[in-house]
Amino acid sequence: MIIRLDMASEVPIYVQLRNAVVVGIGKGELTPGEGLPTVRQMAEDLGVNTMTVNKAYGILKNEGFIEIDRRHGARVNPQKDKFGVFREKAEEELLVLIAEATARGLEKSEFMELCEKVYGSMQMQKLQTV
Amino acid sequence: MNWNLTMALSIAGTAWFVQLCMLWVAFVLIGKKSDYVLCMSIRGEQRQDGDVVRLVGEYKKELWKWMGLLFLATGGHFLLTLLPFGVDALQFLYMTLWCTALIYVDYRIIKKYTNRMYELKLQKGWGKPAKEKSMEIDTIVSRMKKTMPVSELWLGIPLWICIGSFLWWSQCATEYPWLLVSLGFNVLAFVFLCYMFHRMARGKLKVYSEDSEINYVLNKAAKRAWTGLVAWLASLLCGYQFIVTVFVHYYLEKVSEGRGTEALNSFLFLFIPLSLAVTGLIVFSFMKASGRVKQAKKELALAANFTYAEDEDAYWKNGYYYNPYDTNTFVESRGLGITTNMATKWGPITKWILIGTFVMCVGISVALLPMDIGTVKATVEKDRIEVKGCLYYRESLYFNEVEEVHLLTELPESARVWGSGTDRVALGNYHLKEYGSVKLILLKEVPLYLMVKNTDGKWFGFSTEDKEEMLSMYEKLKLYEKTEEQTLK
Repeated sequence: MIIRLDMASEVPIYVQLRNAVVVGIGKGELTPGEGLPTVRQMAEDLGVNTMTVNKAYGILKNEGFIEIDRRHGARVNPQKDKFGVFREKAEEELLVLIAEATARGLEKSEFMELCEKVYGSMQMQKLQTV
Repeated sequence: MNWNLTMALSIAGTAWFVQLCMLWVAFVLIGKKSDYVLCMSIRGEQRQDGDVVRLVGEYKKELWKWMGLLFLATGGHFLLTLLPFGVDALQFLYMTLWCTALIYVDYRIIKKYTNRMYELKLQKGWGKPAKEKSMEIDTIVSRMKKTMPVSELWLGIPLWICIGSFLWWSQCATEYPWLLVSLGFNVLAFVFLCYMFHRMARGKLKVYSEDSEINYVLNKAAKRAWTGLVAWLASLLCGYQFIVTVFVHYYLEKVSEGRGTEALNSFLFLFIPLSLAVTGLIVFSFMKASGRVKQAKKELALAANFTYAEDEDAYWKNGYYYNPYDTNTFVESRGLGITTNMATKWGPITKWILIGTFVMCVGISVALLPMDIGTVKATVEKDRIEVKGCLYYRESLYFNEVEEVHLLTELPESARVWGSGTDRVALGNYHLKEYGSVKLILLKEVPLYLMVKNTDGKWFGFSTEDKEEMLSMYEKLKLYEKTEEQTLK
């Protein structure tokens, strides 16, 4: 999987890195059990500080997307949302997003259509990768 | 053939060789087999475009014009020989300034035309420009990075050769202490090459394509070729130093047997072909490594119908690589071999090392100028004779230490052990037939040489421009010469 970071973006690098891994898992480019480069390798190849990668890996681990093994490094291990934690988080974030969409004059149908399109394209890419 | 002309010929010969190499590298930039024209990725039909052909033509024309002028300027070496004094140091100074001019002219021409080619490419709208301020990584390839370079154990070979050089040197350390400088430079170069190996082995990987397999094959080919080249260069360099060290040992043995000249002649027979062979091997190795990487790209392009996702021309527009978003210090050159990413901390260091080398060479040649025009002066003091030669050569000859004095009209066969010497002066430690080890501060122009042996059994020889002064000093020293009885006492 290819991860691209935009150094000119206002989004912090660790957030970009975290998002790229999550999108990769979503699209099926990163499959469960697949190894990720070590913190040092990732930092060297991206030209960023090891602390930045460490922070991104830490977040991914806490969110249940990867597991970190001392011997094998980081591995993709997406956990199912058993306790509804993600549902709560998604609801919170959707609330803000829908509020913003309403404020910008986006109709419900348009918003749902957009959601359908993005979700569909991700599923399509996942099927293609598999 | 006289000495000055021989020197002029050998210096001019070196200059022509250097110029030929520069010219060849300049022509590699527009090579037909390369993926690049003047550091810009121009492929296929784009190469046949009228504007590209015209620009390449102008580049060639300007290159030939300046190189022709610089070739004519080497004639200066021969004009210098017409001066009525020795011109060794002057020729060295001229050569240094000429080399500086050559590199500067070459750099200006390449900078000018790569800039123009970049602008032309932008006008024509060819290729995809590199996305600025972006970093990318292929996670699959990154995990396999350790398998790509050649083993670090290959650096063990030059390390052992280097240790061998030190062991040989230790056997003649007292006679040839200055060889430590050469060995020191060798160690520095070896350490630098190890650092280079380390940086290249662990350096950032390139993302050529969305396909990880393509990225793996290309990155592996590049890493193997370049780390292998660095390990090979280290072995070559240390091997060369080892041969020189062994020869110095052999030379000293011959000198002590009074066959220094013979040894030096055989060394020159060995040294010139050896230096040429090493230079040829270095060039060949660079070509071979570049060829391997190009071959891998071509094979892949044919097999996988692969095209580069984007080019990095914006970072090459001045003829050198300046990419602040690439953490690699050493990268593959778009001409021949490896180059430095000038945006990393090694960029300014490389620049200053280059400038420093030329400043040092100019400084050394200016400091050596007294050898061409300086003289030897001897002043008689109350208890001694003070001999002052050019550069830093000085000697005090105390009358009460004089044991034996000879006045020679012809210098015996000599071999320099360490010091400076031209056909005009001899300064430093020499080995003279029938005398053995002698310290000399003399002008060869005047055939009157005073050889003085002190009570420690060491010989010292000197001569000045003034014949009468030499004769009067000989008579004065003769008065202090000890008889056999005195010596025995």
